[in-house]
Amino acid sequence: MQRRDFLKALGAGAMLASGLSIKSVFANAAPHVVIVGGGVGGATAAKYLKLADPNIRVTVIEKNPVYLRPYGSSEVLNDHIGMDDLEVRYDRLRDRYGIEFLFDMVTGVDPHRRTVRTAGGATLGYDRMIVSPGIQLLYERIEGYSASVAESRIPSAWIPGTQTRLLRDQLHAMRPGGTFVIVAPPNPYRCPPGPYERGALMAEWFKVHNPTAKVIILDAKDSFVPGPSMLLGWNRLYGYNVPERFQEGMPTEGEWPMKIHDAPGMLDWVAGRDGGRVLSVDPASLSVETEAGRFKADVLNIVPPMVAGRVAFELDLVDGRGYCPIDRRTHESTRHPGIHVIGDACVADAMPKSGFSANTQAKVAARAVVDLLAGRDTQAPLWENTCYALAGTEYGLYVADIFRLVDGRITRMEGPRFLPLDASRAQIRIGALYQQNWMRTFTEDCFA
Amino acid sequence: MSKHLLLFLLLFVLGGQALAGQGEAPAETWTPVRLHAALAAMPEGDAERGARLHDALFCASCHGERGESLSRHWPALSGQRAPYTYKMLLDYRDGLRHEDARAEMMVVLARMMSEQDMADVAAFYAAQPLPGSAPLKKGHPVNDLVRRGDPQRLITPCASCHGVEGQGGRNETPSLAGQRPEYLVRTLKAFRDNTRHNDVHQGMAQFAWDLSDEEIRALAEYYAR
Ligand SMILES: Cc1cc2nc3c(=O)[nH]c(=O)nc-3n(C[C@H](O)[C@H](O)[C@H](O)COP(=O)(O)OP(=O)(O)OC[C@H]3O[C@@H](n4cnc5c(N)ncnc54)[C@H](O)[C@@H]3O)c2cc1C
Repeated sequence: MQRRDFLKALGAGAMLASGLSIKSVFANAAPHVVIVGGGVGGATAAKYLKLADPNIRVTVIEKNPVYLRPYGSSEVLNDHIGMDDLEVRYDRLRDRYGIEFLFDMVTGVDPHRRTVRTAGGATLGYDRMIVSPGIQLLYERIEGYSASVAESRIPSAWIPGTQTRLLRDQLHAMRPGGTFVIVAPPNPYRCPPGPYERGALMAEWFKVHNPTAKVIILDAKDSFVPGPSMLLGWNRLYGYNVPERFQEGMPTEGEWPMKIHDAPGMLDWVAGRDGGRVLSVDPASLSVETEAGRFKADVLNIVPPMVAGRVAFELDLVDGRGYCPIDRRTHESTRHPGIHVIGDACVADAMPKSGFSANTQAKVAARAVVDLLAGRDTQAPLWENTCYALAGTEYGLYVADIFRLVDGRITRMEGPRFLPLDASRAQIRIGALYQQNWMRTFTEDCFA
Repeated sequence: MSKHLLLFLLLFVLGGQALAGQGEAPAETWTPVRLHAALAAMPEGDAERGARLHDALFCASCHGERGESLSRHWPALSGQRAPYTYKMLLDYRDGLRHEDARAEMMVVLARMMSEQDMADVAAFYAAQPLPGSAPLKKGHPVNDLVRRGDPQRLITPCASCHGVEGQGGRNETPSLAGQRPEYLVRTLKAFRDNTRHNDVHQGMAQFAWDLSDEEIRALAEYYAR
């Protein structure tokens, strides 16, 4: 090649790099990134690694060939969607981005040799690894409860699957005037608004299909996110009386005021301070012993305490509280270098354990991994999260946050977060629309 | 029921709200007489009230603070002719416009608006500057199509209805100048592929039927900002 042609080619390359696509620094020796878990976090990380540089070899090891998305899975219970609608396939990630998939269960890692082992007997080498295994449920922490009880009689349905269908069928077959009891988990847990949204969606469904039914949410906590806006929705839709300590800022006149109902409505929330903490359950009689006494259920749904997915323990990534400590700037484990942890399994300070969080953490981690592999300085991350929630199928709420790194911690930036309590009917309706559209576009961002 | 409408319903029965065509008689399509009457009955718009509605109904979060459009996903509305915006809102409300999944947002919103609200929001957009202009572009591959049309395919010149600089024509004929090219491509394809039919007697669709993908891209680029 003539020197002048070479310079021209170089110029074109530089233009390409600045304009259209990033010039790969890995043209000769493609690094290999192994991702454990193809849920929200893992899938997003795989895709964004490939978007950043298609020359990086990316392998996702995932135990199920079809992912069942947890986000939005309570909408199966009220037949808003079917079980099929939870299914997400990996074809697009494989075909469009060249991501490799190994459907197998990760069982161990050798962090010094940088190899990972699977139940199927495979051993894969990696340059860096990203782990996003989600959560495991600690059924046995509640006296009387166990995995087998959850599969057969008292579903938790917090990791979607057979328990989700079981709970749906139980709710639909509940006797007229029966009581649906939800036991909410202690902090920290996956999807903060989830148990309260589930109660609301079922109250709405019962209003039509079983109008004398009751929904009771038992809780060890005294508050939850997005507390007041959800409680106001319950007040408006299900005759729930908002405790005085939450009433501040709620509209008392105008288009859609908060009301004091003479008779209690069909939905109730028993907070920790009111004795909502669960002491034990009796599967035979479907009753729950709490500090406030015994509650007899017709359908019982328990969301037990949870910790990082089992593989995080097997890979020695967890601390004493059951989640994975990380260097927040890169999501790299503080216990084993070369392994990054994202999603529900990591310690993320002010960030809630949500799909949205897992998705932005994946983007932060992917960028850090690319920089580290290229020997570049890592950049200061920025995270965001929006939890959309429904108080009814046409009653949407949200809490939206931006987070920065402050003194080594993921810290929430101050600013307006919630749909205001004086939001108009139209804004609330639009909120529900946003929630539905988010479900679709979010799945695309992660998996397509 | 068209295949697309079916698909649309499948996607969005989720919304819980009965959508156009679902359990109700499909809205009557436009005739020149009906459209004339509807536009004659359009309330006088109050742009200031429109600005407040634009805020309260979250229009800005997709279309931009003054309708300038924030991304390729949503069209620019600033400077749009008020009768056009008004007619589109009627069409969303009545189920005449639902060419793709994006339309559902507008269907739900339009159903929450009175005709006065629609006229006010339309007046607000009309009071904003157009995002661009599309003057004569000699030598551009579709300059002839825009200026002279194609008699062979019975395509009248775009400029004869949409204005010499794409600024819009009479009544409900929209401005195109400065529009997002992605939106123009989607729209022309929707007309061409018969997924959008809120025009009077296929007044727009008939010119799109014979367009190639290439021409559609070039036209969008011609008018884009
Ligand atoms: C009812 C409900 C509603 C929710 N609603 C929302 C919502 O509206 N918005 C929102 O943002 N979030 C919501 N969430 C939370 C959201 O689904 C989770 O926070 C998110 O899925 C976490 O992503 P993750 O990657 O950490 O874990 P997951 O998505 O659970 O992915 C983990 C993956 O790892 C795989 N895996 C685990 N162990 C192994 C192993 N040893 N080998 C191979 N693969 C393994 C699993 O099979 C799984 O596919 C909701 C959750 C629930 C339960």
